[in-house]
Amino acid sequence: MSELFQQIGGEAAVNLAVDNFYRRVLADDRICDFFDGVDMDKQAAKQKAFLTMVFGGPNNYTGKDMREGHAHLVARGLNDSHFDAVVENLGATLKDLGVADELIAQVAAIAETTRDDVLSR
Amino acid sequence: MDFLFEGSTIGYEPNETVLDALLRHGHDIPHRCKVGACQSCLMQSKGNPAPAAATAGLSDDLVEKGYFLACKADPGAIGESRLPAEPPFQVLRATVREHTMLTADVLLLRVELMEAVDWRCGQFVKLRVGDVERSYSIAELTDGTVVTLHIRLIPGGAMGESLRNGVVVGTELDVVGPFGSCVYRAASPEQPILMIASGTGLAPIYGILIEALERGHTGPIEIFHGGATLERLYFAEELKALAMSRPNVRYVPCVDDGPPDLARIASPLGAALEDHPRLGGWRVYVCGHPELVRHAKRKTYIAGADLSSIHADPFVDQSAA
Repeated sequence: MSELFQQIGGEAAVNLAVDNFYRRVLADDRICDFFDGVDMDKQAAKQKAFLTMVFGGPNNYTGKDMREGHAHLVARGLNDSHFDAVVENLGATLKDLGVADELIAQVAAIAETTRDDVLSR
Repeated sequence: MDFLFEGSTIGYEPNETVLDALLRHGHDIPHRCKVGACQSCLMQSKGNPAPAAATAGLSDDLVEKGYFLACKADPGAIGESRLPAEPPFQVLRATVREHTMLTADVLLLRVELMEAVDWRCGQFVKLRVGDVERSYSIAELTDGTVVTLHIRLIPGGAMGESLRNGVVVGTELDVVGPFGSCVYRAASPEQPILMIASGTGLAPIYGILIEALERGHTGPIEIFHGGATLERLYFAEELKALAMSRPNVRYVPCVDDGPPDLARIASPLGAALEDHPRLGGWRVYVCGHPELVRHAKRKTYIAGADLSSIHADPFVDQSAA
């Protein structure tokens, strides 16, 4: 596993982060509507996979997955501001977990690499 | 991409469920609601246990045995599956023992099963009258043979008309069950329990409440029952009496409109969250109208309840089949 993933705390950190992160996005008026109609257990599993990836952990995501997975949301108006909101929540979760700013910046950088795929650009 | 079904390789598309894929290939998989509520599409997986989304509402016993709901399952996560060799439920003949209207449209129906069962309050059964089948939650189960249901009779509804006019004490019908996992968890007798119900969503809640008290639950139990008006809140006297006799039980009747000295003018979810904004460590039961259940699941989770501690029983419209 990557050094970043190890430093953040590996799978244990992901498990701690999932509920914190998922609760934040559901409570965030800017983006919660995009989660409507999605089964919560299924969504929690997706959040876990997403967090594993941005924490530098092992994952099976491809750019195509990100593109296809979000295409219907882009059609509903998903844009940069929503992407930014998610990254903001991600940072807040990591801060709650006591992760160092420098590591948070690295996680944000990984998240940033998915922006164009997520927004179908 | 493909998965195995009873020895055949089934190709599937992204975002297709196991049920969609199998139906598309021409397999005759029993199904009805397609939203994970009726449990008609029960299948069994070999090997990997199914993910949580595909087993929501199934009893722990069934989940352990690899059962899952095809309409909620991602083919990529299931691997190999088949239709259950024997359906994990019983079909029993039953005789109506009581038929009492609790309000203008809520019927209390008591049926005696031809044999004793170990089903639980909060689980649901399917009632078969003629060729109409509908799901109802078990509000009481006495001596393992007498099942009590609270049924809202829908004007013009196929089952509603039969139950109102054709079914009387002595009528025989079929009861299929049990289904669901909306039951009391005896392992946590001190855990605070929040119960939110709309209309006849009170049925499973009432059953779980009685079982909790019978099993000596000591933690606080708060019941928020919502209805349009006071007249719609059946069992209000029973619940008030329970709350008076048990220091850990609190009953909050909620109405859209009514006398504020007799009920809370609020939705049961709104009132519950106002009284309990932090739900970390709570067990939550929410039953009834699907929109209420959806919002409640989300809001109680945000308020801190674990996803695995929130038991939702949405009463989806059963008329479209």
